[in-house]
Amino acid sequence: MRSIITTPAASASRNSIGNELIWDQDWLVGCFCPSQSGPLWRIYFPPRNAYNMVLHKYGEKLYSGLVTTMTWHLKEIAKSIEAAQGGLFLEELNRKWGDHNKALQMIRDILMYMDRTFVPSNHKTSVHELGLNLWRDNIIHTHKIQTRLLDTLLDLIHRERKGEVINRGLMRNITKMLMDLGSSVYQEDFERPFLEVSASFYSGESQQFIECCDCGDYLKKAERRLNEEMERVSHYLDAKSEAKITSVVEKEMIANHMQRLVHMENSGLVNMLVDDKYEDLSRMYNLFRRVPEGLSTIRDVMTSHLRETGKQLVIDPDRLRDPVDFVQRLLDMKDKHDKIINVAFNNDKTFQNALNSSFEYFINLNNRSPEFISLYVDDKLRKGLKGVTEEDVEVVLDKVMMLFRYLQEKDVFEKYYKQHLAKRLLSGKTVSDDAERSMIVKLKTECGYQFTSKLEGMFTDMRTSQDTMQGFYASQYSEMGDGPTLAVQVLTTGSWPTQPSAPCNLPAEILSVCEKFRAYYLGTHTGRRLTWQTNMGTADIKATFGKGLKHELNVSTYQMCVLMLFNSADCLSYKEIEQATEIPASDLKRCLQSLACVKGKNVLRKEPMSKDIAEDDAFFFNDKFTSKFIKVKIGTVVAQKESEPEKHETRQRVEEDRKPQIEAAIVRIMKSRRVLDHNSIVTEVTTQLQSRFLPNPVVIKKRIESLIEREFLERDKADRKLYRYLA
Amino acid sequence: MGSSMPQWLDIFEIYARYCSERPDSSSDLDVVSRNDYATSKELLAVLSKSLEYSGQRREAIFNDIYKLMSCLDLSVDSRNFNRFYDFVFFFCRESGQKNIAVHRAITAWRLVLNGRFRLLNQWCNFVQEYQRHNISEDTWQQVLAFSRCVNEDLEGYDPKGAWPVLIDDFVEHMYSLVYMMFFSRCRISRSKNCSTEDYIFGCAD
Repeated sequence: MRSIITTPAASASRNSIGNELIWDQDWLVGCFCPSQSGPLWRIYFPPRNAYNMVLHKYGEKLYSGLVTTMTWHLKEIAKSIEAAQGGLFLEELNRKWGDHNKALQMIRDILMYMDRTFVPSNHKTSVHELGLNLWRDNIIHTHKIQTRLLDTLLDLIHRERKGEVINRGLMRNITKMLMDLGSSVYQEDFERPFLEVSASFYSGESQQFIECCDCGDYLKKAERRLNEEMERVSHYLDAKSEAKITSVVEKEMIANHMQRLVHMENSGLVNMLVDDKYEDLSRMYNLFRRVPEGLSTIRDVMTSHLRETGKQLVIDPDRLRDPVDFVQRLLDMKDKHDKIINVAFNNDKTFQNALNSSFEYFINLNNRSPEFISLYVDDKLRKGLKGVTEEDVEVVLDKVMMLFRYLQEKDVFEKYYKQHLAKRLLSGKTVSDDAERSMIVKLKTECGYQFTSKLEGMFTDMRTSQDTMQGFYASQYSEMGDGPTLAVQVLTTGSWPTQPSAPCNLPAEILSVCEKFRAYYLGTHTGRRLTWQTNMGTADIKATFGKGLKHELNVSTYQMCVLMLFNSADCLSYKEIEQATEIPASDLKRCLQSLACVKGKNVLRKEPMSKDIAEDDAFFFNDKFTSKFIKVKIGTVVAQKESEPEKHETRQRVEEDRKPQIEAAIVRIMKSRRVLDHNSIVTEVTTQLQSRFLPNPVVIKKRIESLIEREFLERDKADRKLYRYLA
Repeated sequence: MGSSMPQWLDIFEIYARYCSERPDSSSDLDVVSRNDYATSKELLAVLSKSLEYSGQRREAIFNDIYKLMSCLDLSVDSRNFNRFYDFVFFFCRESGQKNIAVHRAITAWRLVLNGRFRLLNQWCNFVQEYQRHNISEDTWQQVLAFSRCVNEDLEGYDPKGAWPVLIDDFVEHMYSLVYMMFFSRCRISRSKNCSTEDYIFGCAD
């Protein structure tokens, strides 16, 4: 095909070829022919020709000629691609695409002038884009190629998912081609159907997995699938497809099966928690966090599991028998779940909060928790921390403090702590003074000075007492002679949890030393009053049994009083002992029981033999007492879990102590607010006091009534729900 | 008060004086200064003291109250009754005490709230059985307010309504009673139409 173009004579006079320009479509064909390159096509159609044509207003002709030629050519190519057999189809397409690109490059170079001037001024599509559009319309969007291409691509991906190896390079070239043809071509002709097919693939696969896998395996499979898809995108898909395909996998494999997964029998979340399956838990966390509600699903199941097991633990009557074990189990449970959250749950704050709130919930279900926590500390400070380094002590105490923080009734803990500390200090049983003080400091930091001032007072008393005893013996050195050695601890009233008790009758030799001490002490501290707390003391006495066997008996003061009676008598009735010592009956019975009824410690003999002490029993000095130890410890005063009546009594004391605190809070609030309604008072009082305990609204109400009666407050005459402060 | 106290004040005089000396009514409380309030408290204290001198008739106080009540017109204005009701507490108080004994409070309630408090009988029985401490002025006054705002099915009672604990306990007691009754009735009658409302206090009186 040839066309002869005659140009006006005035222009292009310097054209070396002459005034005639030849438009030869063959050069274009040449461009598309891969065997020709570079120098050859210049012969057919030097760029100058194109330049001249545009210059002489034949641009339109040149452009339409290009479109016609290229379209014609591409139709030919389409035929050859269609003809490609089976697997060669993609390769053929890919090769033709490569050729087309190269040709397009050449054409653009040749027609550069047209591209720069004619195209923009006539709002035509640029040569390169035109080439792509024509490729799209004549190759990709032809009926035969379009479906075949899509089916081939999807089939290859499916085969890869099934484990076959496919030519990823080819895949990459083809998808690249689709992207080059415009993002809408990629999306419409490939991505959308790809996502649809993937969704149905994963929906089917997840259904199959969930029926036959346990939770851990399922998650492993889901994780692998997810990684595969991401890898696929990085190898041969558009990067923008990653979010889309992963969300398909997430939805089909995770979100749709979340509830079933966490609750899966024998392998669900609870089992993982119980068995410390850090890897599985971590996998679950990382997968679930990808879907909405995922983490809250885990958290909710974990919370209800924690609450349930915690509740079982704290209300189990078996656990209540051993307070130390009880607390240790709580600590172990906390450690275990702390570790899980740390290792598997990315130290997620919301999970930590869930753990804390669960502990707070169930620890307070048992109103003995404060007592038991204090007993645990007592056990540790009494013996448990022997030979443990200072740092380890701190760790244990810090853990206890953490439990302490969960307590609602901190004042109850304080009460017990005071009792237990007193017993430790007075019996000299505390292992480490540093540890004791460290604990006090921690309590102080947590609850303020008020909380610990009395506890600190106890330490001061202990120190002062030591000095006092030294002073006493220094002054009495000459006249002490062979008498018993006395160790007195002078306790400040109010700082110590002393129960008022009538003193018993001490043996004469003890009494004389006591009197000497009283005289010495009051001599230096005038105006004070000393009361002997005989119920709290201990004594070491030396005893000689039959065949001259000597033992040192470590007993309580009460027991000492009883035993001393047997210096002058071999047999005493219960009544006689009671009269001579004046020990309160319940204490006396307990003390006689420990002296006469415990095997290996029975320095007394009882008639009739029985486990319990009766009013008409008779007691004998047990001449036949033997023990393999020189020192025999009888009936030690170890802090123990309180009995029911004692517990009740402590409870009442706590309630009594709360009354003034609640009243003080009400008065403080009313003083600043002057007028306030009932419910606001209750709320504010609760807020003010909750660092120490959770006041009962009924108790608050009773305190308000009492304050009205005592004319600190009055009810508003008009609105009976309002209270006024009466200054 | 002059030192020459009359030997015997009858209840009408005492009431008249009480009314004049009492820091009166809700309406002008804001106007009455604290000072006035305090003075009137003192005056009332003096008046209360004077009651002791006429103490020979303490046993007959309820007759007196009844007499006074029948002469007063208490039906129209609730403020009048308020004042009278408060006066009864004042009048029943033992010398030097802030509260009145349970048995006396119950007798007084039965007398003055008769026909004014639908749960009067249940209330008095409850207090008789469960209240150990004396009745404080606040509780006394709140009972009147309570009697006005609840009807026999306890509708109108708000658990957050700042009622004295005694009243809260009473309501709880009534509820437990009613439910017990309701369930036992239902078992006996096997009636399908049983509803708690039907039995609320219908059978208690």
